[in-house]
Amino acid sequence: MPLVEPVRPVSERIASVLFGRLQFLAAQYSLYAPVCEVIRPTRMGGYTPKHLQIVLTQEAPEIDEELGCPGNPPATGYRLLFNIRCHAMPSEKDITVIDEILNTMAADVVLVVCDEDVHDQGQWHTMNDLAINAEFQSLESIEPDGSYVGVNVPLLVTYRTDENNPYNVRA
Amino acid sequence: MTLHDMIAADAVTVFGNTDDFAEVVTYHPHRHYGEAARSSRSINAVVFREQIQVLTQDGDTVAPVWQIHVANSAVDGISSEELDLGGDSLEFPPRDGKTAETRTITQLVGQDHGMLIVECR
Repeated sequence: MPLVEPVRPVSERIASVLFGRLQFLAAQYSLYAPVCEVIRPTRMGGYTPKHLQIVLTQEAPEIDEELGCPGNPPATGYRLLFNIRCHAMPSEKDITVIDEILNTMAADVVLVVCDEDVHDQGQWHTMNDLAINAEFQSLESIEPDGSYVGVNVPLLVTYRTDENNPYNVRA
Repeated sequence: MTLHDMIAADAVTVFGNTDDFAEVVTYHPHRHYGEAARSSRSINAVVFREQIQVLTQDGDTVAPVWQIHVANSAVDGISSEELDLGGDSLEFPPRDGKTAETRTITQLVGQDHGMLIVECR
């Protein structure tokens, strides 16, 4: 394990694991819809829209009261929703059905996140033994505004940390 | 010369003049699969920089956009016929004085016989 791991909170380590898995999509994981890049945006975006691009964002973690448990220190459960946004911006001359592209991108996202060959630590839903569970939510269309179109693949991750130390994973 | 012709000419000689409003940017046409490559070229453009917008497609993120006015011309600007909103891009400094970056043309905001107004992100 790299030395920098313990100095990052559990939420960020989970995000890094997810980001790492998604990056396989930009390395010829899918031959039909080869992703051009996977992005975690900066405050000002920091990227320009491209065809077959994935943008990973997240919501603020919410406390899950039911997953908390007593102890010394007690543990706090969190639910963290990641939005895996698949952007498609094919050429105007491309006659491929746009839904076909989006269906494939969304399927590839699920496949790569769950692929046992991509990660070798624990089961896919534990995000390298950092989380209790991870489950995909209903797909959401990204409303077109005349530029790119896309589909969001939400992934809800639940994890637990020390109440007084969000850097420490609690089983 | 008709008014129609004069407006088209003004797009190049006035708005596209680097002594007046314009600056030099680089147009990178997208190459669609199976097509011959189209060469990048320098064109004159009026760049309105970093207009902050809320982009609802990405979950209400706030990001800068650039609105760029170019002559509707395959020689002096970008012709509406050749423009491909699926990969064409422009290279320009995102902020005055900074190094040029390549930004995708995301929308055709307006067009007439003389000029095109495109949005880059």
